[in-house]
Amino acid sequence: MKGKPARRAALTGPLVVVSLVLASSLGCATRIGYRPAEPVRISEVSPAGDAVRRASLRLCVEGLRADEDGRSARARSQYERAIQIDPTNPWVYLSLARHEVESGEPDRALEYLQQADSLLRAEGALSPEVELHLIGLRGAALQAGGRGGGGDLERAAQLSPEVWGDGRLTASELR
Amino acid sequence: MAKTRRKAARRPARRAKSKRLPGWFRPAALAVACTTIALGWISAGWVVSLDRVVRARFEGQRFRVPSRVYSAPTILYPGLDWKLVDLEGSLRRLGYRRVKGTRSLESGQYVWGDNRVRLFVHAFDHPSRPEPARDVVLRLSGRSIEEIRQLPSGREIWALPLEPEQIGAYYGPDREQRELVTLDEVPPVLVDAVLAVEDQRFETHSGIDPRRIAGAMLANLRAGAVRQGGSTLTQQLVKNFFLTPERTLKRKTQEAVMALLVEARYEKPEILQAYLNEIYLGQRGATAIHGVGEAARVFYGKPVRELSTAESALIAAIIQSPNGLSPYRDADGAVQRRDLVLDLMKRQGRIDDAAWKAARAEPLRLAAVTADPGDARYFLDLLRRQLSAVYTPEVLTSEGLRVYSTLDRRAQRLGAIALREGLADLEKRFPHLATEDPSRSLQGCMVVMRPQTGEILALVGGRDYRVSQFDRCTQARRQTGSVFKPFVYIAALEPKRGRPLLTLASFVDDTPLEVKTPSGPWEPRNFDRKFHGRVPVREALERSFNVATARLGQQVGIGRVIEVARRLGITSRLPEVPSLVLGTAEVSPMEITRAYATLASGGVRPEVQAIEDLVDGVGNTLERRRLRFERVIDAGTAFLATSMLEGVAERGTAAGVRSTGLRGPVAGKTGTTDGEHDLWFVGYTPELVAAVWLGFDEPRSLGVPSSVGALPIWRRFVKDFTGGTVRGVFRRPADVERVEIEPSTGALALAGCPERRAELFLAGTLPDHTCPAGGRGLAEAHGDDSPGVRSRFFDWLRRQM
Repeated sequence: MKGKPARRAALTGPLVVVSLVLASSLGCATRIGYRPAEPVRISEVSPAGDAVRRASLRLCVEGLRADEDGRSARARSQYERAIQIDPTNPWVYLSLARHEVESGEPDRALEYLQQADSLLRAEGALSPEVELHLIGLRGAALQAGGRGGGGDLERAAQLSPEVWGDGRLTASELR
Repeated sequence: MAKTRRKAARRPARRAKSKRLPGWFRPAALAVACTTIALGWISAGWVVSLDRVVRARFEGQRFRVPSRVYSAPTILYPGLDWKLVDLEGSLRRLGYRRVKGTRSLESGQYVWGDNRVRLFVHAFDHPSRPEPARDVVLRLSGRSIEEIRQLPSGREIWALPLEPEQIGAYYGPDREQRELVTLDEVPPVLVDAVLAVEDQRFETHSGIDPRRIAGAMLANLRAGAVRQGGSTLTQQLVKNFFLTPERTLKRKTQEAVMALLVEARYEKPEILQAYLNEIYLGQRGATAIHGVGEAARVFYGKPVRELSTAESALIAAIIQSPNGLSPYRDADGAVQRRDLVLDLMKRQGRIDDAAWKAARAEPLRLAAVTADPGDARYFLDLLRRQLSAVYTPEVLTSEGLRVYSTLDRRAQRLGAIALREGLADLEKRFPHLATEDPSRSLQGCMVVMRPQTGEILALVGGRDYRVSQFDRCTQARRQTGSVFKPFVYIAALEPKRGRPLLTLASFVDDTPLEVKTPSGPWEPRNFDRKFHGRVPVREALERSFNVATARLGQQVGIGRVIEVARRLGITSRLPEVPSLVLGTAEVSPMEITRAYATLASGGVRPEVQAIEDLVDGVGNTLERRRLRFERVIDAGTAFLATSMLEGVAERGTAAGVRSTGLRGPVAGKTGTTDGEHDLWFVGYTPELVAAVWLGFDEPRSLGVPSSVGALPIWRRFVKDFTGGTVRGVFRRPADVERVEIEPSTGALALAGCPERRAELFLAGTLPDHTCPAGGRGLAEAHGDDSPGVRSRFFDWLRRQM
């Protein structure tokens, strides 16, 4: 009769092997060479039945649309209203970071990225498809500020040449 | 020879003539001539000096326009609880008028139906975020806005900002309120109404109107009293601009001369525009309403360009006696006078018969009298202090700046009510707190902030601004008591070069402690005067044990606690003494709020913001806010702190937070200083942080704990503001693990462990010992000789999963 500890000991070996395989494949996927299927677009983010988040996201999308049309002040105002409605919406901070990079305000962009990163992590929404934009925008902001950033931009371009190949994220690409 | 003869012939003739004039004539004539010349010179000098006065005023800054401060706008969107945000109250305060029927609405009108509201939103002028006037319909479902559509297109609107509410203004000594308008903005019908009643020959006279003067004299003679004035519109302008209202010949002469000068120098449209901006149109409280732009806002809640014929006629009607004819004082009298103006306009051919009939039939629809914005005055003072770093008081009170602030009108109102009524209730329950002298009464303050952005949503700096303008939230520094304690625990929980001093499964010692200090031994005591032995770290904070926290402070180091407090946003002086950890340093409520906001936003410290943007009198943006953030604590540690503070609100000293049924995530900490001089409660939800402080300005004991004094005020505010259900969740970051432990030992609970509860750990900080192995390492439990390796491996594996 094998006792419980013995059975557990017998299972430990295979469990460790399976875990190792799983962990290394996860590591490979997320850290080494994984290419996100499709970079995230804010108009496709689900508000998950939350009316506040829905309104905030829609304002954010309107802001991106205004940015596309070159109405920068309008875009900014939409982002600010989106934050007023839902200050925990990470997508607005991400859009604002993009807006600031394009407006030549890299330091501001980096601060917005920090908040976006914090909220995305808190929401568990920091998927590779999103992280790609964080990396790219950080690279673009650092480069614009004359503080390197080439590596980040390169990585973003490798992960998504269609979007980050030209070293920038347009409003329509994020929308 | 002939020439001499001719001269001689002339001499007798001249002599003859001089003989005919009396002897005094020559000197008299000379005197008259000299006097005339002198008077001429004096008059010319006087006229030149008057001309200089006229030019200085007309060519310089004509009007002092106070700067206005606006709240953040209310934004309507599908899903919003319209009852909670008091939609109809907001509309009324913004000057919207409820009407019946739905055929065609004018700007500023709304129709409230059973499950729909049709609303014609005012246009909002702003250099970067203008909003058009638009006709919209809001479909309601219960308390919620279901959808918003624009009419007539039917296009869906995702978010509809109402224009910001004015919460105050910075006046000069005269307290004149004025909204400057250009002649282009003024509807012709308003100009016609004013000219019809005040100066029908304005276009043709040159400053004074003899016919009008004669007519007025005749009318006054007939009446036997002064009933009618003969002043032209230019004279009225001159009188208001340059002269006193006294009725003397000298003043009337000055008025006439200056009117002629104004007419000679300036074009009619320019004079008319100055008049329309200058004219006094009544009082609103202590503030004088000047100009048709301001009157349109005050009386009708809309811009001057949107005035109807009847509304224009009413404004023109009250010029003669703005207070006596005020529609707020005597609505019927004002309508009668308005109709007289309309009759006059028709008689003078300024409006046709149809317009006359329609205008006379129009009922008086005045904007609601908005409440005195007194409850935002501490906030206004804060803004003024901030703005005065850049703008002089003269600029602030005269150049018509528009300050768009972050203030949430509803939060401000609810905060003021909660504080005022909370203090009154406290005095009722504890009569020893009440004082006869209002200037020495129990005080309090409340500040509400949006943690992710640092925007101040509400600031109530004291009990009654009229009694004391001292803002206790931003200008006072008071001992913080236990609201400082979380900084000690954060310092201990934060990993610094390896493992942190504590995890949430750790225990701390609440046993007698003596710390040697230069001023003698320091022996902290607990509130209940007992020692509690070895206590779980959560319990130490939840029950706010002083001794355990003091010992922890010694272990972690006072310098490190100060460094954490600084990172979180405390800027006041923090003396490096052992008692600091119990909150003996004096800190402002605003600083504490910011520090807790940093925890609420996951360790990202926001810069405090009170202004969205600043626009000058001609519509240029002078300043725009810049949201600023800095990560100062890792998200995991911030989350552990939040989790501990949630425990305080669930089971600890702040458990009363739930007593009125407030639902949703709440974290917070009570604070009561030595001798109960200061009572604090600082609490947060995922979307707002609010701090309440209570105490006397000259510190004395309140004799009640903060859970009885400050907490109920916070609870009431948050319940009223959120409707009783807090939105959002405190989300666990990926690097925080939730595992089961054995509570009495803090060991990792494995299968077979009899007692267990879930606990949170930063990655890499799981306990080394397990249950049932009784406090031994995980690897040891499996018979391994190198326990740390396996423990770390499982730790790593969990992180990857």
